Amino acid sequence: MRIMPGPKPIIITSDSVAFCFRLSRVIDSYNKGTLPRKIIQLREEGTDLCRQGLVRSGLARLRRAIISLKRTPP
Amino acid sequence: MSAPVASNAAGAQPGFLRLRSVSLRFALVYGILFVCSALLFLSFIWWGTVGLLEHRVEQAITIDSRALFSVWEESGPSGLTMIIDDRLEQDVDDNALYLLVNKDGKWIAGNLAEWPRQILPNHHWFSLPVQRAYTQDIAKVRAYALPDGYRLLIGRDISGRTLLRKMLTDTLLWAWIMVSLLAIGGGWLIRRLFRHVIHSISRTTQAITHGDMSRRMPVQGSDDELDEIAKTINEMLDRISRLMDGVRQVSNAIAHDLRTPITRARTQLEDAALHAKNEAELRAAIDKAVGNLDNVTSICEALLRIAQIESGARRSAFTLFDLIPALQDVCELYEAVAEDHGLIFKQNLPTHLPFFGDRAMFQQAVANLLDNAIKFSPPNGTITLSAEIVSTARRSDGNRGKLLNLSVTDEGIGMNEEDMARASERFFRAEQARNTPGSGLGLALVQAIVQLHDGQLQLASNSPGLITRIEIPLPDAEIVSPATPPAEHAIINS
Repeated sequence: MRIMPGPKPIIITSDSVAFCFRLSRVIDSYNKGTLPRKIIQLREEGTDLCRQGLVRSGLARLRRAIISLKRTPP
Repeated sequence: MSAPVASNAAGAQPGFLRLRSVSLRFALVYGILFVCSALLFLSFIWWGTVGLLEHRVEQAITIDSRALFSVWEESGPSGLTMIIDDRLEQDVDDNALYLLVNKDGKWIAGNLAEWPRQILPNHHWFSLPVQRAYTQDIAKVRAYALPDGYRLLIGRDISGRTLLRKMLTDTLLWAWIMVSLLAIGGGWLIRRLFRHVIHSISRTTQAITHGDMSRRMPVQGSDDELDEIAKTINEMLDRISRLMDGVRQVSNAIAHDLRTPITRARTQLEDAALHAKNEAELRAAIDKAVGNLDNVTSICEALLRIAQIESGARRSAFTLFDLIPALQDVCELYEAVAEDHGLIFKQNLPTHLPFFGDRAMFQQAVANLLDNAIKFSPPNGTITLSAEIVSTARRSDGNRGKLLNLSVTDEGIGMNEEDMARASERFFRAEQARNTPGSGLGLALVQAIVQLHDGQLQLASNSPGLITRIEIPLPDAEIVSPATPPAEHAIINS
């Protein structure tokens, strides 16, 4: 395996508050009125954590909410 | 007498470590083997674990790439963009990395800000530094070329695995250091043990070198290999002591027994030279002197014969033959002698007796026993020669062995217990036998012949008289081939 030289690392864009909000919008894009309580709770917790600067924890909750949503039949 | 023994055995140099020391070499070999084995074992664990982690990452990326290629083939860039977004939205492990760019290098989809300049879409694996919100991690990526100049980068953040790898490396390294310390301790213990054994042997052998033949190796009583070595060395020393005593005793006996006839011959010749009045007296003196010197020659011949037999060289003449005709030949000769002495000679022999050995030599042994019996029997006494086959105890192969039991019984003066114990020593003559002609080598020769045939010579009291018994193991095969007797030996009676 080759190890790339150079001091400049590539930025991971998904590790940001903006990506949190994007995930939150993805959740919102589903039918809001029929969202289960658990998913709403995960979304709110995730968004709050991202706002507080705990981006990775927030992302983890939002992703779990999306996975749950996709498993829930429409 | 014991001389002072140097404390540094075998010319040892003083000092804690001696590079030419065998014990140090053993300890080093032990330590190096131990450390190398541990290194090999721990390296195998490291390589297996780290290799597995690397393989899992590569496998995940490869499977992912196949799925994305099929999406590209079905839906093109738009479909691939959607699936990449989906995957990033559902990446609970938060370690997936994707980047899709067009032919101009413009970002289309993914979570990497830009295409790394050094990476070409040539399907090689790369390790890439990536910047997260607060940390800088390492990612493993692979770049793929897509139609129309599109390029796809798929990777995984391996910082967690890198941390695990570092922990594993540290743990195994510490384990190896601990094992190395144990190896050093073990090597030191082995060196001490080895030195103890070597020094013990060295001290004993040095004491013996300085003349103290009474020194022996200490036996701990643990019945281990060290005790076995100590016992073997002690047995060897016992045997050497016995042999030295024997040599000393035989030297004294030779000096004494040869001096008597030589002195007698000299005196006779001197006396004849000074006082002989005529040729007849001179000739008579010379004949007596020749007789005495013949006696000296026969003693020397007997001694040489015993030495030759004891060396085991005669074993090459062993054959399988029937012992009975051989014994009858000897009996024929001694029947006449016994009759001359007014003795009754009885034989108690089986019809056949298969035997493996030297025919002439065995005849010599039996002749010596019969000669002794005739010499020490009173007139009208009875001498009996018996031979029989007896079964021995069951052997390891489950069969019973067979033993020749040959005995010569007389009704003569016999021997006390003390004399019987020493009867087979060279030049030994019992007190009652001092006045009987002989050199004291007859039973020594019988003993040597019996030992050559792996047998035993035993003496027992017949009250009155003596029973001389020979026990020799017989061959398993009962087939007696007609053996041609080897060249006849002169029978040496003493």
